[in-house]
Amino acid sequence: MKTLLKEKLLEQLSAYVDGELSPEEQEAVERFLAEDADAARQVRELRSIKHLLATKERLPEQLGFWTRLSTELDRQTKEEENLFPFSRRLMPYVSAAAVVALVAIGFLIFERRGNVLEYVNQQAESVQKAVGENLLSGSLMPLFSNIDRNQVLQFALFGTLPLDAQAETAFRVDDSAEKGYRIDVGKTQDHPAQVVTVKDLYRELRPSAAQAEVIDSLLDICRDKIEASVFIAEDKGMAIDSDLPKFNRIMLSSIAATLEPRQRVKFERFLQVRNSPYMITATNATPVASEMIFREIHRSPGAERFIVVTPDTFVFAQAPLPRERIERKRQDWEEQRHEVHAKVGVLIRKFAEREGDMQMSVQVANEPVRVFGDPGVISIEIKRDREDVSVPQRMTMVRPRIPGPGVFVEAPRGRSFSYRFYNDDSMFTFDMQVDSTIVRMLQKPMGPGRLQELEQYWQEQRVRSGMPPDSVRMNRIMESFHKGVMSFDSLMKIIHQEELRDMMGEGKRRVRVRQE
Amino acid sequence: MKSASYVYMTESGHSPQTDRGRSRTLRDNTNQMEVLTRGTEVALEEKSDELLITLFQQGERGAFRILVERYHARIKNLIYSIFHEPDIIDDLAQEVFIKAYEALPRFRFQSSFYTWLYRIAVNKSRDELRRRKVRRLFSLQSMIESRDHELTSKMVAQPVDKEAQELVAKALQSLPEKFRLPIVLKDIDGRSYEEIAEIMECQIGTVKSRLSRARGMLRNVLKPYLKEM
Repeated sequence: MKTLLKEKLLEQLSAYVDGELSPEEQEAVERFLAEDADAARQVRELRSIKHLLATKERLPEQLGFWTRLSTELDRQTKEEENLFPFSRRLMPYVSAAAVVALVAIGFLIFERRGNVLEYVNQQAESVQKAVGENLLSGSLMPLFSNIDRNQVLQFALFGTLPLDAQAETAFRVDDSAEKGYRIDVGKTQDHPAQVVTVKDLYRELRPSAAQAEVIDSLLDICRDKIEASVFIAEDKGMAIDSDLPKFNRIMLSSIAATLEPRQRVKFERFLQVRNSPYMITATNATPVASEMIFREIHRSPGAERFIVVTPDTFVFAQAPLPRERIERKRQDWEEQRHEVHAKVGVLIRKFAEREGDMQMSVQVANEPVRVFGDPGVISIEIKRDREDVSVPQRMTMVRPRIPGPGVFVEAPRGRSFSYRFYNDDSMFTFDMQVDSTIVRMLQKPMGPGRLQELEQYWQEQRVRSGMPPDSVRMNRIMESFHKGVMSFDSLMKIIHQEELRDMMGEGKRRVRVRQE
Repeated sequence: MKSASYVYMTESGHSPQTDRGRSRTLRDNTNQMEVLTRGTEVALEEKSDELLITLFQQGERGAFRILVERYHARIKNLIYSIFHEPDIIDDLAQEVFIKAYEALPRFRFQSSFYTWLYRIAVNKSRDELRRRKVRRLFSLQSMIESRDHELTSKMVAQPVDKEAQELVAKALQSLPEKFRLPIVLKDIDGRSYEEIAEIMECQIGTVKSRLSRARGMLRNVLKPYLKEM
């Protein structure tokens, strides 16, 4: 026994006092205690401590606990019964984050109570009506007509097309999102449309006459595609070919395939200096025969399916458009160009008016589309599985540009999260802002109370959602901020990401942040 | 399951199937059960936890009341020993039983109800302790002060004097969570090492070493007092 370490000895004595030793161990300890006065004294101390704790005051018996508890349980049960038109077994889906979100969507649920399917049907009918009344009555107008090759090139490079002469508004597609595309129609504040001309491109690449001819033809094909892909139905709705977002990548890869490796390096540089969101990766592949390129470009993408969105319904529907009738009307549109821009402006305003702090989408088909209107912009997000985004083999030549070090390696997620209730035969999806408070705070000037406000908010979110905050990590982050190695905006970004990570219950998402 | 139904039916004279669904709220259910079991309530209250849980799982929500009344004092004392703050006891205890109410339909009798309930209480307490710790670390404004409330007015007089009580409470509060919980469970609540291991979801060896270290820490804090004893 004497050889036992001091700590081990105390452990044995402690267990002895507790009466948790085996008879053999107990006997050994007792023999040891008889010989060792110090150990005996320790046992006395341990017993004193045990006695002190055992005689610690107890709470008096209080009546009424059950009454209070049952009132609270009743209240919760009633709230759930009232609030959700769904069964209680769905509640596990209502994550901790939902506690926060419920406040925001509460009124919506009340408004939409009743049969979810009925609601979905009503909305789908409204879309069909919009299609029927407007799209077929002759008021359908293409958003783009008579665009030139320069604009097509611009679309291929940046995914943007100006909507007005001053390029203050634009149509923008972005397929760099991990799982899907995003289409924005409206102001260009955040993503100013860049001006690039075919002449610039040719000055850089110095293509042969044959190559230039192929590229010109590609641009013409793309122009036709764009002109037949985006329509507005007066100021009541918009129809967009759901394949359009990947068309700019197809364009870029087709141009790249036409080029010699040496020219392809130049093409990549051309994209790079202009901050194109795409990069050419396979620079040493041999040129592809023009017939192959044309065959593939005509074949892809496949079927024409249009996403129809209206501000009244705020939902989408996939509708086949009567292409022949559209073709026949092409001439009329030329005369209505001025009208189109005015209508788009009204349409955007309508979407923005309908947009509060939340967005809502209803999954009708198997392809969730989210529509929302920021002030001045209509945004449509199309989520797709990777397989759906399949493109011709050659398109692997083009990839979303990998940002350099110092920016978010993973694209920051949108400021919303999807929130789903499952019923027996339907699904209802709410997409909503979870960090509207953060957004609002960002808009405020930096003041002494702001950080405090942020911390308080962050705390409350966690307390409310019942999630223990990760103190070590957040302390480290806050420390960097206080040391001045991180800007306030970076801090906000991290907190935003942390919050989403917690709310979405995902594993660790590592973000790299610029050290400023 | 079958025998539980049988007991209930013979005692109440009603089939649970016909009674169930008659009213929807918990209190209504309780009242309903009181009516049905009038004259046999004492017997029902003597039923084992397992039987009560079975009744609850079969839809008899009123059985939960008996479980609450059986354990709420112990749970509240556990929380009080951990936090030493009378103000939060009721709220935390309520959270524990709400959680139990929600989870009880999925209770699989793999541990005793008592251990299971304690685990919920311990986890709730841990959450609360962590939340406070972080709040202290984070708050640039007013820190959450350690709340030395007037405790004595709400306490029942105990043979050990007031000064010793205060000292013990403070000494306990000074222990980190992982040492405080086992010592409370062992010395105040009288749980065995095995039960503590089950409640805290750790090994018996861990319980043993943590208890020993907790006592080492307590000894240092209480030394002046121990000499006088």
